Amino acid sequence: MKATRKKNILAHPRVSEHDLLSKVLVIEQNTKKLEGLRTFFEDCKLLGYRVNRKNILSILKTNIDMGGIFLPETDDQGASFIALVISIHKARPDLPIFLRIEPDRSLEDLPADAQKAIVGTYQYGDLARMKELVDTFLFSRHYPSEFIAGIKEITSNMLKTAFKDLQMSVDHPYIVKDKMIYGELFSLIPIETNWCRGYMTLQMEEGKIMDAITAKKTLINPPEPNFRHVNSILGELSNMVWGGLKNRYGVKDTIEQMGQVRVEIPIIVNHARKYISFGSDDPQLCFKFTLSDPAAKLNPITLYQKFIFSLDWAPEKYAESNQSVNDLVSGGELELF
Amino acid sequence: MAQVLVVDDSEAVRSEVSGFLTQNGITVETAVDGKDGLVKIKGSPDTKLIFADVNMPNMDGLTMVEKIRSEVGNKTVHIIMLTTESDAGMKERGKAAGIKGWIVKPFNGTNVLETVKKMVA
Repeated sequence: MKATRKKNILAHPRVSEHDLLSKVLVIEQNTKKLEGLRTFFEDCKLLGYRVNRKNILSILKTNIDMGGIFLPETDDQGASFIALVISIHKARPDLPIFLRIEPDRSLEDLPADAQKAIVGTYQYGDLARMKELVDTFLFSRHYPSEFIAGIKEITSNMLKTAFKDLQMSVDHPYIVKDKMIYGELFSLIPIETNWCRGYMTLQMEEGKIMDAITAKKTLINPPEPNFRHVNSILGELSNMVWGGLKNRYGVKDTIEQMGQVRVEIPIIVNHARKYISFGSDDPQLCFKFTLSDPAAKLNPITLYQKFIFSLDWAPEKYAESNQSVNDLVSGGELELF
Repeated sequence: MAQVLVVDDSEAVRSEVSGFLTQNGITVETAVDGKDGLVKIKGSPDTKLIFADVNMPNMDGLTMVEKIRSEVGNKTVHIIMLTTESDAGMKERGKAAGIKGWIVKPFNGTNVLETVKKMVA
């Protein structure tokens, strides 16, 4: 998919640096309707990737950061996509499916299984309905742009500390509905401020980090690197990122100050499916960082960073919290007493 | 006897800090949490300086510092907290227990080397 992504990109949405976008898969053969989708995607911050009936399921197997799927009920020859819709939903029930139907059709005309598999239908040209669906099932949360910028900056700085002499790039921040886990290495740390509660995860591939340690590109230099060293690097990276975020944004109230019941929700991990659920279907805030070796001796290291605010989310309190931000904390300086 | 004790639950941090200090001619011992740190300082009362994290399992760094001063009765070892925390309340607690300094991670050895050398001299 990575190799084919660029040429299959349907639209480049108009976004500012810290606007969020979302990646969606699109099946649409009709040129006119495809053009309509392109315009809609550009306006609605959707990065669309064209796929087809034959490859969509295999593409879903290798992609863990999608927002949703757009496809029609039938193709131009009248062949139905309904069986595919049901297969997609079975494979990836977290991904919202937006189904285009013809003007003479309605949701009730679809088989019961298909009605359960999709989040909604729309007709070609009904932009208001399409926007309603996207806003409801993808962009249902407002993430303050200063917060997004801060995460990106702090994580970038900590990555530069944890990994030496590697070039770093960051994808445009985006939201995902996927609950799939990337790689073999996964850290999870609670995020607690007076305006949001949930978790941050960092996901990487073990072998890539091991290679970096062996090549002396990390902050440690063990004589015989093993998986515990890899774990340790991810753990400390998570610790530093969360510390940086907390120092800048986190006014951690006590439970008494919060004056409310402290919600806890079980986290479910299915190792066989590489799947994690935080008990919420809310969209996750996702950043993708890539570390590359200028000498090209190491394979690029990919880091997925996801934020899941499943326990509390009150961005209206963010501005208030931000006024007391202590953004002058500078790492590495010794404060003597 | 090591001149410096590094107390951190992160192997990466222990390795990074001790590696830097060793390269600069300073002898180092490590401990994996506050409890381990207490045991190590009891066994090496002439240690000159402790770098300690705050958030650690079993016993946090500030509790360890307080116990070093009270239970162990070691009033002379210099202690610098090396942590992601920058909370003023935590710093006050550390000051009350007699810590000498506070570093917000990440660790930058070159920034503190001169101070460390004076403390271990």
